[in-house]
Amino acid sequence: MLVLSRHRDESIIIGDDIVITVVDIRGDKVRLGINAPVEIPVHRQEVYEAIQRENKQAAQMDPAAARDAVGSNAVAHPRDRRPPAPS
Amino acid sequence: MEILTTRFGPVTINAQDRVEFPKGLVGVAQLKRFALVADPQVRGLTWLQSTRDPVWALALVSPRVFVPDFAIRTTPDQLRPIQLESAGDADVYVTLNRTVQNFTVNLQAPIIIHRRRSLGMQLVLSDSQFSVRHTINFGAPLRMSA
Repeated sequence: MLVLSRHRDESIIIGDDIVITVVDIRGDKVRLGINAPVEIPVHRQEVYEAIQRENKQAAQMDPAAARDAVGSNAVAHPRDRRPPAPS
Repeated sequence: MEILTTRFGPVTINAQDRVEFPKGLVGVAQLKRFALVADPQVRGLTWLQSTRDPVWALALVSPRVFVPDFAIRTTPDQLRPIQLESAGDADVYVTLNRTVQNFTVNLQAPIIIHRRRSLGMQLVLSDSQFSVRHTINFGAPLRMSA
């Protein structure tokens, strides 16, 4: 692994268009600012891994179980069928 | 066209059921082409079925059905992969999963579909109080078995 030392407000550049800046350092916590093109998703690693695990596990879902979950809940919310829009 | 699925056998899908995820799913970038298949038995259940891998299908539900106060805060930038300009063009789903005891939905990474453009993405909500495994409660006040 490449290891670089940076002070607060200093940056590193990855490739031509990804800039990571040390915004703040407090105790054992570092705040990073990340400037990257929109096509490069940026995630906290543990969040990324949790979602990856979840996706792989959710892909094993068995239709009968899914129908149980949705079917029994539909009784409670018969009207709400429309998915919400992002704000 | 007809696709093969392990759960439903051969399924005929129309052009408007196809949806491309330019970035794939989070951590599963290799799968980009899917079809939205309505569950043949239960309303409100949709399968995001890979058109390339018959085994790969995620059960999608509307988050509002299970979590009435679920709302997504995001920016146009985050939705650029699916060219979404207007919130009204988005269909929002969450994936359904089960643990040993419960059913859960992934509220932290909802699936956003731009139906008109047939594009989809999995959005990661970064400062969300919503979890990857949100246990859903069965709200039905009355359950009877035969």
